[in-house]
Amino acid sequence: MDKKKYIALKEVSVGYDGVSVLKDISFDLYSGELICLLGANGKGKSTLLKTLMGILPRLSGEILLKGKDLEAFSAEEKAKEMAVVLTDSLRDVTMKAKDVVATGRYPYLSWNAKFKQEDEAIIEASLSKVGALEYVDRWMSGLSDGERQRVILARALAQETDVLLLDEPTAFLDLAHTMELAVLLKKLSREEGKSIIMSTHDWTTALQIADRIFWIDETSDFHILEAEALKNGGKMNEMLNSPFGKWNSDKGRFELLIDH
Amino acid sequence: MNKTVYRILLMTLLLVLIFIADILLGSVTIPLSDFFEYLKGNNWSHPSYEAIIFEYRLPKALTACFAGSALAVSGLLMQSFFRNPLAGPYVLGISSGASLGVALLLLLFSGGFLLSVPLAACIGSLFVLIIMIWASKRFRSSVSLLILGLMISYLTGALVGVLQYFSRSEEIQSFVLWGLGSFAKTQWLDLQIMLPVLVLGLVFAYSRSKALNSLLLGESYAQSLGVSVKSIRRQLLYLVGILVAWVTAYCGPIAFLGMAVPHLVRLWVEESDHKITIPLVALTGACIALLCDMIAQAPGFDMVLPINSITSLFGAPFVIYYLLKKNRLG
Repeated sequence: MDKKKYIALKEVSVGYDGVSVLKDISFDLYSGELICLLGANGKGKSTLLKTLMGILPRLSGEILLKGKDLEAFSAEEKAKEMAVVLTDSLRDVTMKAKDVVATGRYPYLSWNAKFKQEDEAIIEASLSKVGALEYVDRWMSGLSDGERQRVILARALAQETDVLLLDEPTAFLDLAHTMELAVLLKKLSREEGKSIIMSTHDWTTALQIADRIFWIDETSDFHILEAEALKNGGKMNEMLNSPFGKWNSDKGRFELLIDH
Repeated sequence: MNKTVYRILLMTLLLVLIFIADILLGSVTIPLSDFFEYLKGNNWSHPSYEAIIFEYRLPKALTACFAGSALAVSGLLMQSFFRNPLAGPYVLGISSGASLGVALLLLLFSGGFLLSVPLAACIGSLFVLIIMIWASKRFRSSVSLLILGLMISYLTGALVGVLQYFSRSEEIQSFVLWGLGSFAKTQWLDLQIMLPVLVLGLVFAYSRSKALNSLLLGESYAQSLGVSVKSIRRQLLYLVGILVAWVTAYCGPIAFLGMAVPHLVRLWVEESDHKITIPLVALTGACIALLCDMIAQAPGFDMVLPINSITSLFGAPFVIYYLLKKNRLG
């Protein structure tokens, strides 16, 4: 598959109310690429994602989506290119799982939201990809965290976009569900050529699935790192920045320093 | 979809039955057989019946229908927009805002021209709505928003009290009567202004179904689905403000109906799609308003009870029940 450039950032600064959180970020994002965004809380992971989503205006620089300025997209055009998973758990939403997934088709429908057979098929396919077909008639409040997260991802898939942005999708999940989601995302990027950016705190998962890692350090500097190169280098300890753990490059994992 | 059509037909049938019952019952009970004779083209068995029905009960029943629909749909829109099951025009103080507008007009300027009452009510309700939208961004919890609504009701009540203190007794009487709520004050002429506005409002609400469904997921998700949140927020603000103000201006404040009916419908149909819920909430709201009106006109007795008390008697326990149920679920 030829690699297409989906997103390009040139010296972008992001932040709230004119105060920048991250400065001068530049990167290109290609089709089939999975990126994990890491960094301590409050360092701007969500802010960057929200800016890419177009929910937050950028402070400066240029963001291109498929070669066109992000701000030149109407909300509906953008919704056909980019789907999102936000940190909101949607636990209190008074909707059934199927209706949540169905909203993913809205960008393609006119005002009266009449589903065609094709839409129904896409909704079903999305539910089946995440293994959530059996929850369709259940209320969101009646699902477990893991089940709900599948539905939320199915909603994003039903939007049929080339770009997928996820803000801490594994935050509410136990280990088994985290692994399931990680494998699914990797498959989506490999097999369907989607480009995916997800923020996470989970280094172990990130190193296994990511093509590249975007890391925001303590001083809010933005680093772009190749996942393969990282696994061997001493950079890992610097990134962890904790006296309670150490990178074991033979085993490819962080280990606790219990006798500290 | 078939199920929805069937449910809408069922509710329409029920509405027609309640509507007929409402125009036949009251201090003077008109026999059902008379009604059928009239439909066949015969005369009423008593000459006064025609006047009772056409001059008094028909406009009243129509008012109840559309006021009930408008309030119930406003409640649904507010619950979806605030993502808060306890939102409603009365509970959040929107009706009180409208009351304040009307009080200022009636007590300071002693009435006015044809549209002055609805317009004063609009200004009052929009004012409170803007405060509530501002507040809803600052505190997330249902209960805080509810308490703010309560406080706004107290505040407007206090302001109205001050106004009343300095007013003449005739002005106070007309305002107090208005405040008790009634579907019976509208003449045919009033209906010509009231009904088109409410019908347009309801149709507009239905046309926003898709955006409303997206808003159930929250503003950020809605935006990511192509909804222009700024513009839909403004549209809903004006829509709810006008619907509630228009009803309040003509009928006085009607308690709890707007909050309770959407819950009744959700309990019944278990759907969240506004294309299904808006028509059903509108029909159910009309039915409930007519039922309350039937109770208010106390069939067989020579008296009329204030409608606002009737809806409160049923609505307040409903809110208590809902809070208890919610607490049990955690």
